[in-house]
Amino acid sequence: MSDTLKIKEGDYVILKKGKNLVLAQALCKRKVNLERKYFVLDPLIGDNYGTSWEITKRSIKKVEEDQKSDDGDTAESTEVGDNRNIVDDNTAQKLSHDEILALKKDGMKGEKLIEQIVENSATFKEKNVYTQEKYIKKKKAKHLPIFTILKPTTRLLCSMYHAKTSPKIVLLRYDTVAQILALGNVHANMKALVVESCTGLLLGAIMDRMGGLGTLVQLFNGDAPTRTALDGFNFSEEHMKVLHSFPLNQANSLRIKTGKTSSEIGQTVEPLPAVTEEEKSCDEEARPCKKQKIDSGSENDNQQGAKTLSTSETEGQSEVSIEQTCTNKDRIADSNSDVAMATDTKESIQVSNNMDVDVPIEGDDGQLKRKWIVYPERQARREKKRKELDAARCIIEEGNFDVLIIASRFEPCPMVMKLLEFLSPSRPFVVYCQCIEPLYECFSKLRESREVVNMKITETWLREYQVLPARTHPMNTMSGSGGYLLTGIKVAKT
Amino acid sequence: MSFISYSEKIREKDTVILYLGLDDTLTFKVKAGNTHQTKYGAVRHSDLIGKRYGTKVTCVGGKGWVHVLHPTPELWTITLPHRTQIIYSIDISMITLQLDLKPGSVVCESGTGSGSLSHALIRTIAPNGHLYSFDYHNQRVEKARQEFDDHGIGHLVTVECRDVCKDGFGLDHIADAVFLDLPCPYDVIEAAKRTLKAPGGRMCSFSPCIEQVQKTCEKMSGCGFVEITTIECIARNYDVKTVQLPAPDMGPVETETRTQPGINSNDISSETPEKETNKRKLDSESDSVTETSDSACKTKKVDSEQEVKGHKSLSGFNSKCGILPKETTGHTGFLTVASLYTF
Repeated sequence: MSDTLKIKEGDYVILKKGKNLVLAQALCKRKVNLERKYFVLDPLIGDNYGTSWEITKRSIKKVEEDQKSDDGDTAESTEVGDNRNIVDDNTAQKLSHDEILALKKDGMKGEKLIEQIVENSATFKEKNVYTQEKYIKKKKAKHLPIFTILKPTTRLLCSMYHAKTSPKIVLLRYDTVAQILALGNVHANMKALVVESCTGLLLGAIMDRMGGLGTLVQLFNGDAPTRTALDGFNFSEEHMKVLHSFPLNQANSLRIKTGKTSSEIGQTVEPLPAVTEEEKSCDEEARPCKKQKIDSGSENDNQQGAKTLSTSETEGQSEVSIEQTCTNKDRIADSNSDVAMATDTKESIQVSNNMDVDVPIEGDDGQLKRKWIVYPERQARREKKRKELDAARCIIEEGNFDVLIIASRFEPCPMVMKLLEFLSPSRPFVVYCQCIEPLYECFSKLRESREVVNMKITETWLREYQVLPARTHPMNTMSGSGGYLLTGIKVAKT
Repeated sequence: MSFISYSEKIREKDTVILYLGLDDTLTFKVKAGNTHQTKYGAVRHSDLIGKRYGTKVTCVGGKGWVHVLHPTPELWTITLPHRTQIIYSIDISMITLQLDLKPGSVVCESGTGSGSLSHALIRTIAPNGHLYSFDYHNQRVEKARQEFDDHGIGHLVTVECRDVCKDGFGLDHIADAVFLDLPCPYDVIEAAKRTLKAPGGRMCSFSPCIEQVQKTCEKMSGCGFVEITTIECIARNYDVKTVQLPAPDMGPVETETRTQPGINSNDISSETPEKETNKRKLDSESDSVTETSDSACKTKKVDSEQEVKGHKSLSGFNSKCGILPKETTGHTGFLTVASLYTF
């Protein structure tokens, strides 16, 4: 394990200064920002995680073990000074801000600088020894630019995102993440179905606990899933293979199937040229209807779209060849992108740029028709996208999921009621919501369905403590809320 | 069946969980021919074999039914026979997160106790991690070993009867994380540190009393542990019920006017400004004036009728609410966590 504790170039790392956590990518010559100080991380590449670094002009210097000052929480006192004569009027410190900066510029730093500040404080000696310690600690935090470099873990990333951008992760607090993972029985070699609006943070946490083994399908909203938080986990390409995506806006078209396993279906999709030809023939059929871009939402398009949707549904139920269903679904999936349709092998216009070109050609009846020419790269991408979509659909429709996890900004009830069918009996589901009221409806509907047992809505109260000799007490601020969880176990329908 | 992978059907020798009601569960090992008595009647083990986990089973005697569930560490925690005070899922989930555990992790824990936390740790570190668990009570060690084997996870755990406070762990630099649930964890910090791998790792100590926590933090700091944090988490359970609060009887609601229908202007001065604007609006819509006046008249009539009967015109509060129980689990223990980066 020791080699994994060395920082590699390209790794995402966490810079920790006091309680502040910052995620950065360790790239050569790339500047990072920590509390308005800019510097490169080059010196620490190849070094160990857990080391401390001092920010110098534009770079950083390692702080050796023996140079590290202690945390200073060792004061023990029998004599107690107090503040009866101390007046807080900003005159206590004789060194002005500019003077301190000048000292810093001259090269004074670390303990010496703090000593200077302390010496020039008129009221320091009068203070209680604990107050003195607190004072020094505060000055150190302000004037000593030292941070620790840490390997990102689920715990650190969740704390960081919650502290900084909690609305982006639907206010999901790290202890709630911990509970989702435990109550959902997240482990290696499981099959998980997830809907989340946490920019990938919850996905990462689940994938971390799956250790690269198993299957995870995410239903995402919109055209593509937002997964920026996944970067921080530093997952390898191999590890990322557990993750599949499927658009939420096609969720209602999913039907649980019995029979074909996803591996069998995968084989029928394999031969790429065959699929391409199929697609072309389907496209040519559709072409007369589609004269303009699909996302212009014209009447023809909508009708065609509706037709293909219903065809695909009936086809799906009779288990017709996947290629055909692929292309119809692709049309629907593509309706959001502006990649257009027809390819005509007769037309092989070579152009240098990647733009699809609208080419007027003379049709059979002498009329000028417009054609879209799609370029090979883009076509290859679409093929890949379609294959992935189909694979995901097959995986979902197979059912047998071991857990259903929802932590979304959308109303949870419709999602739970629809997706529960893909969960095996005697498996847990976990629904997270920032507020409790939307979960009441879920709770009631699920109770009426008689398909679930052991249902609970829980909230956690979390508090941190300051533990110091003679100064132990809970912290003065605590998190207001970590959100609410609705959990239960699906059982066989009675 | 095993605690680290789901199976579909119940087989002989499986450990199953019978679900009777909320937090009302029991467990046994399936053996053809045996019968288990529940408050709803008897459950014959042979009836279960071959059935799918999650099926509803009607009890012999016809008093009701139960559901048979696949065991998980969380269900095990609320069902297992207590041999000691156990750690519950709320703390277990936090411990697992704080120790940065994942498949492949190596963990040391002391004491084993009833195995509540152990099952959860093993579930998380499977299939290629390992748990080294220590307890000084011989019988508990034996029982734990038996349970781990029954539950299909014996290969992922080594249980040893040992007093770690006196004799240490006997393991050098193999663990990613250490967990302590002992009366005197501060006596073991030095030894626990030795079990951690050379580049460092995470440590967690669970103590009910603040004095234990204070001593532990001091010792941890002295041994070179950093980022020492003490937290507490408590779960609140909500039940969902429709709450009906009848409307209070505060007497009749003041009606707008008691004059004849159609004559409005005289009373404008005595009405509230809000009603005034309403009335003006009504007046301006020539068509609707009479209608509304009529309806207003009707309401007046109704009001007076209601006055006579003494009924309220409001329906009270009727909505779904989250109800908290009268008493709930409060403090279980403080969790102190820390990191070690250098020896």
